[in-house]
Amino acid sequence: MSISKLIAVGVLGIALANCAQDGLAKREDLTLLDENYFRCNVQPVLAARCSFMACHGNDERPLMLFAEQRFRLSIPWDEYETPLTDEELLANFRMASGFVGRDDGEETLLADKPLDARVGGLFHRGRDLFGEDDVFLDRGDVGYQVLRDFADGASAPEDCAVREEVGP
Amino acid sequence: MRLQLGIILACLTLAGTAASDAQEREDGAGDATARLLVYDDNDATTVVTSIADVDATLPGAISIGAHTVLDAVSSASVDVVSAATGRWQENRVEVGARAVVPVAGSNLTVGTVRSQENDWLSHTASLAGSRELFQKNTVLSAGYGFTRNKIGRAMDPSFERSLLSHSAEVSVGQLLDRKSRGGIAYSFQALSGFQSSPYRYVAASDGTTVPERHPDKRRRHALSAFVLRSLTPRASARIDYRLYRDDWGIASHTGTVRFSVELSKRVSAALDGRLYNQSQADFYRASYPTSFRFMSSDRELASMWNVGGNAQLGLQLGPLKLDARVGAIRYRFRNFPRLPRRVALLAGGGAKVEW
Repeated sequence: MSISKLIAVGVLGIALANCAQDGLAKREDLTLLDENYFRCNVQPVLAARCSFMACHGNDERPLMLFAEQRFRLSIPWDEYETPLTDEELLANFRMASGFVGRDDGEETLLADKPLDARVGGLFHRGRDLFGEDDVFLDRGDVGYQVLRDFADGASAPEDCAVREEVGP
Repeated sequence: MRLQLGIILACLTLAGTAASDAQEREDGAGDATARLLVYDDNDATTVVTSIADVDATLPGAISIGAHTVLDAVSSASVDVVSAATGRWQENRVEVGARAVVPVAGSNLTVGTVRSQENDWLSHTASLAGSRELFQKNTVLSAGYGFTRNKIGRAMDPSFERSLLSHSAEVSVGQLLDRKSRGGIAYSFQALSGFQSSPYRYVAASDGTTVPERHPDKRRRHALSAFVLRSLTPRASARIDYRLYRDDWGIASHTGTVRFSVELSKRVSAALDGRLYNQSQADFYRASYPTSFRFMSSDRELASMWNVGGNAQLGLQLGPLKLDARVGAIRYRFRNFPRLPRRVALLAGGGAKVEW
């Protein structure tokens, strides 16, 4: 077989045998996550435990969170204590949803990154930067359980009562 | 990661070159090479690569060789800045060894490479064989490489992922006429494991931000061909073409032209030019409206082209060969808004001594 025929066979082989994988450009289904549960339970935890300006109340962090009296979206500086707008809540919900996906096995970044590594949590730079203890010292912390339940698909009615902040 | 993938193909190429050299040499002959290459681009990245390589032929036409590579990387590229990190510097150290053994009229090459950087450790084993046929007018070669990668994340001891790679290549080289030689090669690579960046995040326009996520599996195919022709007793030209496709949806074409000329008995010069064009991966988008199953902010998966050229000067002083080169590459990323263009300059030189 001549070289030109070999080339022709090779080109044809590559063209035919190498179709792209299915579903590469598919949207992710986030319908398991509940916006009401987020608003009433998750947002108070994030506001109290995560959204300090030096932590995630900062647009330089991949997980960027809005909270009252902290980082706000287009709110005048003298109105920072007003409740979050629907736009800010939706942004926080979407931001948190992106970190729900299991990074490895059963772990979820949203809950397991701030969990202390000594009890099975993932590496969290916040612990290194601000002290020896991480945000959640054990899995019994109510804040950890709330984030974990959210990741597992917990839901709440539209008229749910907003949880008291459970900060340090 | 790109450096790691390149190691496998480099192994197979080195295996072929070593096998060819070993056949020509007498017992005790060998060579040693030292090179320094500098890459600098306007995306604030500088790479200084130092290479040392040695080959020796033992009795029985057995050849052994070893090499080491040190990449010193300093970067504050858009990737780094967008991940809220400052300039970083790190080194990659690669060491490798190979042996070429004649077996039943063929040359069998075995090799191993270890590469380590602060967040990446890889081990490669390769096996290749080549055989000359039809009064040495035809050379058939085949090779296989396996790489196990352990991927970490700087400052994060809890992060550890793996990536396995199987690579294979078959090639045919043929003397076409008194002045021309040609060849074709097909290479295949199957990757399985973590192929995202552990540092990059992707923000969708609806506010969702996720850690970058690429598919775990990837199959890559490439078909390449070259023709080398002697134009005059002192000048030659070589044309290469490479067609690439993978199952992430990327297709690329690479064309290279090289002219070499002997200016005198001691001085040689070469000029080469390269044009590369690729389509984007199926799941890559310049901006995502919402969360997708796979999301990437890797510009290497974007639609892009680049064009580059090099000028090289060589000098032979007895057993010592010296060379120096300068080059430039202009990149155009068609749908990577944070870095639509990049220009890189390359300079380097080396010395090789034979005995």
